[in-house]
Amino acid sequence: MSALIDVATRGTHSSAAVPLTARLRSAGVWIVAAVAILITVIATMLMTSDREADAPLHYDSAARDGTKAMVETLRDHGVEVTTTEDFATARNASGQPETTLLIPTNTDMLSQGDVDGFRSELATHDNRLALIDPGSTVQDFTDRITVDDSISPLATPEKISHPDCQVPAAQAAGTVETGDTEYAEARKGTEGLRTCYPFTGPGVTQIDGGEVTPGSAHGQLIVDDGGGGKGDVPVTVLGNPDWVTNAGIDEEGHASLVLSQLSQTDHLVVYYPTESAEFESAPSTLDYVPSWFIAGALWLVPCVFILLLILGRRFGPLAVERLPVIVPAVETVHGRAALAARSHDRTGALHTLRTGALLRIAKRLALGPEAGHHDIIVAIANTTGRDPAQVEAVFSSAVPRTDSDLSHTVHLLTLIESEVS
Amino acid sequence: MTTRLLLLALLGLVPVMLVPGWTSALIVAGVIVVAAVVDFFLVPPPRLVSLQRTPGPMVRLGAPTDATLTAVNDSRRRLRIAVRDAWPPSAGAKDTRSHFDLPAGEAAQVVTQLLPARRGALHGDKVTIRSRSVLGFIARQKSFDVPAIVRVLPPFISRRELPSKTQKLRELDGRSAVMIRGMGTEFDSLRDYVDGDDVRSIDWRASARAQDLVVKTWRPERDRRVVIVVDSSRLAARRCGDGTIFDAALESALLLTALASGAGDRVDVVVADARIRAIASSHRSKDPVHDLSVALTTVHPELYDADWEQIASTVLATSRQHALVVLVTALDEGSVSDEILPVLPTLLARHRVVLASVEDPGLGELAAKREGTDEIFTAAAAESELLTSKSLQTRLRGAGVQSVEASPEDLPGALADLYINLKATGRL
Repeated sequence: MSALIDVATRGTHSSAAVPLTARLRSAGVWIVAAVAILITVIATMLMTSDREADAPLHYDSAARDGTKAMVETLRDHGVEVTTTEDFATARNASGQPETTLLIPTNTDMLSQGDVDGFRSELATHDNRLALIDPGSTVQDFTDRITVDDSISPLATPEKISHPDCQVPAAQAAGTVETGDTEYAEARKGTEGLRTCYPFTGPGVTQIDGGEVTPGSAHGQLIVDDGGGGKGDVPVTVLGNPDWVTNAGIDEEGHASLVLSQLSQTDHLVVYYPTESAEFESAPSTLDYVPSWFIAGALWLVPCVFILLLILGRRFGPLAVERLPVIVPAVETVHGRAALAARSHDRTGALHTLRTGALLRIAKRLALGPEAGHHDIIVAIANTTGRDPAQVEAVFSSAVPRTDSDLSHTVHLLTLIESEVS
Repeated sequence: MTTRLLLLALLGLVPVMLVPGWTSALIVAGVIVVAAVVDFFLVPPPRLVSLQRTPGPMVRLGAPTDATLTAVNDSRRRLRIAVRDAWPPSAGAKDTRSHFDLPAGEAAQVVTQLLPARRGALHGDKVTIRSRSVLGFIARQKSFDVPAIVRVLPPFISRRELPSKTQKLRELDGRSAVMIRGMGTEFDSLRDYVDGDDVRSIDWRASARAQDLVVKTWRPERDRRVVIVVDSSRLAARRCGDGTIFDAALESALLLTALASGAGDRVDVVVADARIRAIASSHRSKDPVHDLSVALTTVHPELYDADWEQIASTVLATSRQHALVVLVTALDEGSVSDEILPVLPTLLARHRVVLASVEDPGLGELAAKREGTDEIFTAAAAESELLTSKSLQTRLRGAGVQSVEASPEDLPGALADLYINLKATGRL
């Protein structure tokens, strides 16, 4: 103790160093939280990228409706394939010489400006554009091809289509599976446009009334070498997506047809259009807020963070209070009472209360220790003027059978005790 | 991080809002971060301060005291520090925070006012230093152990009963012999006869010599021995009012010590449970009550059973002379019949033994509440406790031990009355 006082008067500072293990233990929560957040972020990223790669006709999708097999096969055969979901990348890449641009799907997501951008890039080196079942959007890319709406609605085309044309690749590929859509030249007798795989079968006749004049060249594969006009790009339309999917590419002559069509140039750009910010059309409320206000509001975020750090920093550890040992006093009494109540020990409880009352009354009436309980009861009856039989019953003979009996007797007992004074 | 850094960040709002955009925001943020980092290296480390704590005077519980904290700047740098002089909550420290601007070599003092709320040795907690530089954007802080103990003595509330009890004792003093004569009184002096004195106490021989009536006076015997044993075992740790039973026991011991040592008796106090916790004696002590208070300050009840054999041998070793042995303990059936009664004969062979115990006021209240069935059972259990302690008192009386049982507030007075009674009847 004297050493302590000595130290206290001289004054020291001992090191506040905390052992490494203790530090790690206290930092454990933060470490675990950081790891958990990291895992969540990684898992989320993996899941989102998985979802994107699962999209139909996606170049990275190994699912049945993906086109990874086609892209990889083309790479294996020496074609330099550039795959992208980014518009700018695709546009720049499609401006290189000896390039084909393939847009497998989602052509409806491209604005007319995007399409014009592609067309001008492609036109610089007379590059070819390949589309897979573009539907009516084909007219955004070229005005020489359109969806063939002249086929009779009652037609039931055969499941297998024959080339029936002068395109060497189609002739080499042979038969293919029939799709849902057929394309045709927009004007009858367009120069430099070859069509293959027309619908055949019972009821397949061209009727009038649509955009396409009966007798126009039509088919599921259209190879358009361009009309030589300004802005005209060579276009290849592959009318059936099943020809290029992982599931369908090894059927019939699909592989031969598709690979030969797409490997005509050294470079192939596969552009997969996705929902991009450029398509955010509806102006939100944020657009009406002045930018200086947004900048100020965002700047307040780190300010609030600093404020929280200032407020949250504790000025030293909590002071420690060494508490003395304290035992609750009447705990045992409550415990015993609960035991007696549970076992319905009314006789025992009443006996105890009677004994206590008799002892107090005897003392108050100045009766000596030699007085028996009968003497005290007689004395009580004399003092209070109550019926001796009743006093006898309350203080000695009555047996409580129910809780209300007990309660009644005890109240009388207390009453009589208070009367003796 | 300080308020100044926040102000700097808020100041950054102006350029950010004037020139909205990521670039300007990054530049302003960069400037702030650089300022903070530079300031961090400018801040003098808190360990440059030497600290010293000087505990204030020891006080009785309820009285204010203080502790002085001295901060010395041993370094050659100017220190701008905020100091937190931490004390446990029961110390009742007010304004524990202060700021200093210490030039090199200077020292500063801060007095922390304390109003302790608990008896015992009050240990100072850590001292935290938060240091900042001229810029004051970043503060570095560190906590240091600076040991200091302020002693808080038992309150001794019952000392207000001391004058009346001493007065009672004085009344015994100097009385004419007849009133109190008997064993335990000794001849004090001769004085002139005044009307009202008992004629039987006139010393005729002295009156003849003095040519005037002279009476003999007597006083109670002096230099008796009193040994107070305070039980600090688990039974004393029971809650009772604001404190524990042990606090009431200490009050009784203090009042009896004050009274008996004032009457010229020698008082020894033994505080014990499974081991002897403290021993104090009024022998050769100028202020026995104070010395006893100091000795008892650090003792708190522990959850052990008392070792009465050891206590008995300690009492026997303390006083070989006939003594009044006061056992301040609980009237607990188990401990009394199994532990105390077996060692009583060895104590009674040489000493007079008195047992004082604190009555739990809660028991009486519980025994009086008899409304519902549950309350009746509780009342019966409480009544049974009361009956047990009464029967124990009877057993002890049979063994020749007088016992006092009273509520915590009344026990000191009751024990003092018992002592005065014993003194008056010469049974000490």
